[in-house]
Amino acid sequence: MGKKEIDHISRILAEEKIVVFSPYEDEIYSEIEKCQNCSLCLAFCPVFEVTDKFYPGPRGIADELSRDVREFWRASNIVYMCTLCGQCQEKCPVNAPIPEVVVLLRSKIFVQRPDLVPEELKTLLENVSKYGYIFEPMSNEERGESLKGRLEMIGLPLTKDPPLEKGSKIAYFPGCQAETRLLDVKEAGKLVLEAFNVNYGIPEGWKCCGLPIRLIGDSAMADELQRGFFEKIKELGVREVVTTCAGCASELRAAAKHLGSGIHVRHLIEFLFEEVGVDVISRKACNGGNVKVALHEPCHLGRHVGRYVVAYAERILKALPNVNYAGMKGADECCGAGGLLKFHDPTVSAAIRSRKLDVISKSGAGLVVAPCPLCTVNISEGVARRKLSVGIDDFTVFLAKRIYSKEV
Amino acid sequence: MIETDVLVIGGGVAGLLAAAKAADEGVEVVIVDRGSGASYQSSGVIDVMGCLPEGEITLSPLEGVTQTIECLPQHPYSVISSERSVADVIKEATKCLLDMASTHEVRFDGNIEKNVILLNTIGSFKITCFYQSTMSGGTLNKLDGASLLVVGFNGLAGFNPRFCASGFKHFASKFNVELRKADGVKLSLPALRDFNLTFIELARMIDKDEFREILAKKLRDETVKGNTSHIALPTLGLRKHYESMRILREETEAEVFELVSPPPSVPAQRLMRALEEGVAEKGVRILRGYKAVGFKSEGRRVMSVILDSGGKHFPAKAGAYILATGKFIGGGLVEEEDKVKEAVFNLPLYDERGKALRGQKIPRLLARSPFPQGGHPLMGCGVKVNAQMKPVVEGEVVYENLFVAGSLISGYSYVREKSGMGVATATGYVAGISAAIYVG
Repeated sequence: MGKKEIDHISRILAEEKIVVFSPYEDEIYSEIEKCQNCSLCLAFCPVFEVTDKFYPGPRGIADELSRDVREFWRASNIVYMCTLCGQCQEKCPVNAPIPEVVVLLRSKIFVQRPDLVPEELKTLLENVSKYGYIFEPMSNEERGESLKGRLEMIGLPLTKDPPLEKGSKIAYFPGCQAETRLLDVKEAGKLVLEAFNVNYGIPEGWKCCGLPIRLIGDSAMADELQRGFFEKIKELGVREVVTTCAGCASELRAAAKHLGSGIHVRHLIEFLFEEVGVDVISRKACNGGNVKVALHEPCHLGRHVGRYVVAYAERILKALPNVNYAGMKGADECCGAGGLLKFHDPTVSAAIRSRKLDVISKSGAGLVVAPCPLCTVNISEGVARRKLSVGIDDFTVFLAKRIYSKEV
Repeated sequence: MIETDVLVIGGGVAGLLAAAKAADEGVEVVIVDRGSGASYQSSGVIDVMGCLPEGEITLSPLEGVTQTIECLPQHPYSVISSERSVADVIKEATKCLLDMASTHEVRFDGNIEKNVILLNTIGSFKITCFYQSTMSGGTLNKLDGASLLVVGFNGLAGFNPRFCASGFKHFASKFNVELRKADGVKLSLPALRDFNLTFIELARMIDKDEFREILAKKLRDETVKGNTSHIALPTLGLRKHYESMRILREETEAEVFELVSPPPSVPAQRLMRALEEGVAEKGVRILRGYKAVGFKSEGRRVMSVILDSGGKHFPAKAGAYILATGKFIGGGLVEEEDKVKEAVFNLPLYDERGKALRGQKIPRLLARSPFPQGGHPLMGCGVKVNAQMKPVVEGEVVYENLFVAGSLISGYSYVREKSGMGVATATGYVAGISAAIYVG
C-alpha cells in the first residue's frame, strides 16, 4: 500500500470517527479479551459498592470494549466514575487490565465526542494549558503567606528551590498538588533530600506529570508533555527522577517505559529505601515524640507501581524511633479521590472516603501518613468534616518533621 | 526482602489452611497471593467426596473416600497419610477450617458421615457434606412434603425461579423426596436494578435494613398467597446473612434459606473473608499483589522464591515453601507452547491415573465430547506428591523443603468427584504440619 492509499484510508477513518489503535492500545484490547465476565470484581470495587443501579462496575466497563469502536462514547456515563484504584485488576482471576481500559475509553471519547467529557474535567484541562498545572496556582503573595504559615506550624525551615543542572544526579518532581495546594510537601521533599545529601535539582519549568490529562482523555497532550519533560532532563545528563506523589510516580514511571526514555522514576520512599537504607533513615529521623502511626497505602503506589513500595514505607515507619507502627486493616482501600472522581462526582467520592474514614477510626492510630499529597488532602478534608481526632500527614512531611523537629 | 519460617504461595483454601496449621505449630508464616485464587470462585460449601470411583453418587462421603483409596492409589486422599486413618486426617482438617470460619461469623452445618443434596440456582443440585447454615433449610431430605417457593428478582441475571422450581421437582422425585408444591416467582422491587443485576449487589441490598423490610413484606404476601412452607432465595446477604435469615423467617413464618449459587458466589466471599481473618488472627501475614515467578535452588533445597511486584523482583527466603497455587483458574498450571506447565518451579507433571506427562500437547489431554463421562484428562493433571506432600518424580523427592497443597496435586478430578474443597483442606492441613515439622 502506497502513501496515497494510506492517506485515503486514514481520511475515511477520520470521517467515520474511527480512531486507529496504537500498538499499546491494541495490547490492552487483546488483554481484556481474557475477561470471563465472572463478576468477582464487583465484590471489590469501591465505586460499585457505594453507587446504586446505574454503575455496572469493572465487569461492565470491560464489556464496553465489545462495542463497535465508533460507539465507545456510549460508555461516557460510567467511565468517568472509576477511581482507578486497581482492586478489580488485582483480584481478577485473569488479571484483566480494567484501569487501562478506563483510560483507553476516556481517550477515545475525548477524540470522538469531546462534548461528552464532563465539564469539571475540561476546566482542569484548561488549567494545564494556562498554568502548566492541573490546579490554578495561588497568587505569589497568597502562596508566600500560605507557605510561611504552614511551615511555621510544622516547624520546618523555608529553603530555595535548587535548579536542576548539568551534574545533578536526581530530578525532583514535586507534582501539581505539592506545587499549588499542599505546599509543605514540596518543601519537605527538598529538606529530606538535603538531609541525606542527595545531589538533586528541580527541573525548571516543569509541568503536570500527565496523569490527570490522560485521565481526562487527552493522551496526545499527556504524551507530548512527558516526552518534553524526559528530553529536557536528559539534555542535562540526568537519568533519575524522584517524586513525592503516588500519582506522578506511577504515571511518569509508566510513561518512561512506554516512551522508551531510559529514565528511572521512583517515589521518594523507593529512592530512600534503596539508596539510603532504613538504618541511615532511622538514625537521621530520630526526633519528635511518641506517636502511633498507621499507613494509608495509595492505590497508585501499591497497585499501580507495586506493592513493594508500600512494604518499603512500612519498613521505614517501623524503624523510626518513637514511632509505634499500627497495622491498619483496609490500609490499601481507596480514599475516593482517584481517577479525578473527586472533581467529577464529589458525592460518590466522599462516600468512598467515608469507608476509608471508618477504617482509620478503627485503627486506633493517632496519626495516619499517606505517601501521596492527593490522598492526604482528601482524607484530611474527610477527617475535618467528621471531626475525628486523628492527624493526617503526607509521608514526606512526616519524615521531614522527624528529621528536623527540635523536640527529642 | 521477605524472610520467614514457612512461605505459602497462594491464598486459596489450601494455602490458608496450610498457613493456619503451620502457625498453630508455632512457626512464622507468610502467605503471598497474586490476587484472588480459585476458592473465591467456589460455591462456599465444603465437599469431601460426592461420588464413588465408578462415578455413582454417594450419600456417604467416608464410603466414597474408602473406595477411592482402594481403587485409586494415586488419589491425594490415598497418599495423604501412611500411618493414620485418612478419615481422621480429613476430619481434623475440616474441623480446623470450620472452626476458623465459625469464629468469624460463617457457621457451617452438616457432618462428614453424610452427604446432603442441596438445591442450587441453576435448578439442579450440589452434593456436599458441609454447608453454610444459611443453606440448611434447602437440604433435600428436609423438603419432603414442603410447599416450596423459589424467589427471584426482576433483572437478576442467571437465575430463573420458575425454571429452578421445575428442576427441583424433577430432581426431588429422583431422590424419592416429594415436594408438595414448587413454584417460582419473580419479584419486581424498585430499589433494584432491573437488568444485569448480580448476586453480590442483591446480597448488599439485603444487608440493608430498609431493603430487607420491603423484601420481608413482599415475601409475607407471597407466602400467604401460596400457602408456602419453604422459601428459597438466591442469596441472604454478604455480612448480615444470619440477621436477614432470622428476620425473614420471623416475618414470613416460613423456612427461609439460601440456594447454592454459581461462581463467584456470595457464600464463597463470606467464607474467604472469614478464613483470611482467621489466619491473620493466628499471626500469619498475607502479602497481596505478589506473584511468584521463579526460584533459586541448591541441590535438592529451594533457597528462595522470586516474587514479582510491579515488574520488580524480590527474593523471599524461608525454611520451607508450600506451593498452593491451584490449577488453571488459580494460575498454578499454565499453558506454554500448547503444553501444560507448573508455573513456579516447573515441577514434573502427571495425569489423573498417575502417568507422567511427557510433553503431550493440550488438545491430546481433552476428550472429544465437551462433557465426557470420565471428565477431561487435562483436569486431573498436576504434581505428584508423597505422604508429606513433597513433590516427587519417579518416587524421588524433587525438593526436600517444598510442599504442595490443593488442586495443583494430580490424580483426581474435583469437578467429577465433588471433592475439591475436601482435598484442598486435607492436603493443606498435612502440608502445613509437614512444613512446620521440617523447619521446627
